[in-house]
Amino acid sequence: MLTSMTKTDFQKPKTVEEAVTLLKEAGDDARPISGGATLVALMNARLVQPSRLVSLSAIDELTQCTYQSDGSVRIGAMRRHRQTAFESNLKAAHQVVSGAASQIANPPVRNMGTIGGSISFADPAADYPPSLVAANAEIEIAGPEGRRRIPAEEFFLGWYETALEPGEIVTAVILPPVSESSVGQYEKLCRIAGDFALASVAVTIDFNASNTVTSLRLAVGGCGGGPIRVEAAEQALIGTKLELDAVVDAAELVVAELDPIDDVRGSAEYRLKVVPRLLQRAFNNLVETREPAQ
Amino acid sequence: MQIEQSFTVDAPRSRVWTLIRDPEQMIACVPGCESIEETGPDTYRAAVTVSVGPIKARFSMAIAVIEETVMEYVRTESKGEEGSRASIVQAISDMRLTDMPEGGTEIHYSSTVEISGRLGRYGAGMMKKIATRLAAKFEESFRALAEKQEEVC
Repeated sequence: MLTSMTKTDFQKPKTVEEAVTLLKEAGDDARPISGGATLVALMNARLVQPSRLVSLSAIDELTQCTYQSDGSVRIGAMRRHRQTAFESNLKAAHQVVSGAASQIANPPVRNMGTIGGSISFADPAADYPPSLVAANAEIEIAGPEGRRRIPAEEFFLGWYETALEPGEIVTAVILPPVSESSVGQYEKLCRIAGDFALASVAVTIDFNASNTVTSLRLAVGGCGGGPIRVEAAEQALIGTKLELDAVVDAAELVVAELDPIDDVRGSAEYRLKVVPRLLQRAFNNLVETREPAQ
Repeated sequence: MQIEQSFTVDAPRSRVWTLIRDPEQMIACVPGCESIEETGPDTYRAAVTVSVGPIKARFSMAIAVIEETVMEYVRTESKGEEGSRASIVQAISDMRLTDMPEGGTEIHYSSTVEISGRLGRYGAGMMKKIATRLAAKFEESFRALAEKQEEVC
């Protein structure tokens, strides 16, 4: 099996700048490696044969998750899914992200995989992308030209394509400040435990004192090339108390924007049918988690 | 996998035909195409890279024009292999040109594509989405080329 293995140069820099330089030097066939949950599997299957691997695991800043003074949370790209799932800094609406992390694959993958690696791979059915769009996250990227930040919505271009230019790496995910009254919920439907989503729904909502929705963001996963945010549905739900009628109407607006495919997990038609149910389930679960606090 | 699409460009049919049959011009329009060389009358060899996520497949394509009606229709057969790897792509493509009543040319193409090997791992549903995206890139570059050329003349 291993007879035609090509030789891979392995590097383990200590800083982001070094990592970027090492990637640039080696050109197109170099790959950054974080947890390796996906890349190592692709290499084992000989689908990808990098000439150089640049491990990001020794870069201290990437392994930190910090609560910033302005209320935003900076999740380093090397944070494992398990760490994010149990992250105490993620409160209120930010829990849409920890909720997504807790539902990724299985414990070995959650112990190994990282947020930076997962979003760079950008599987259309992955759990983080819709949750980051719903959380209005920003992605921090480092490259030969320095660092830049872009909204999650502009990062996922669809069908495994991201806004990363050659030689660039994700360094952090930044979640904006949220109010204490906000909530976040991630709902996923998969055929078997640990699978990628057949479809998923991520929502973040804030309410006023009388339980009326004052802000809402909603994104769907597994139903197109990337997470799909439906602003018309968000607008339709703001000002309501998430009554059944309002949710049914909004779900129709959501379904109209989806672009699913038939694949081994389910047909496109089936996906369009389950998304409204997932949306309703997300709202039901939100109300349940909220009520004891009232 | 079947792909069928049509688009119009604001250029006369003769111009569109000349461009389509000029390999040098096509390099710039076909997404991922690095080179095309003529290997005989109506046969060509092209290097085309298709990447899906981290998987990048570089195909050496043999393309043959198997049927054509000048200015109207061309049918090509393409076969590509990826070096020593087991990725194979095969396609039969038809392209038909028609004059538009208001001037300009409609380009209608349909293609039957079979992919196996590394890229074949992505299901047909996803490959079709990716193919459609590549087709849109082709359309954009081709339109820019055809309409620019016309201004020059």
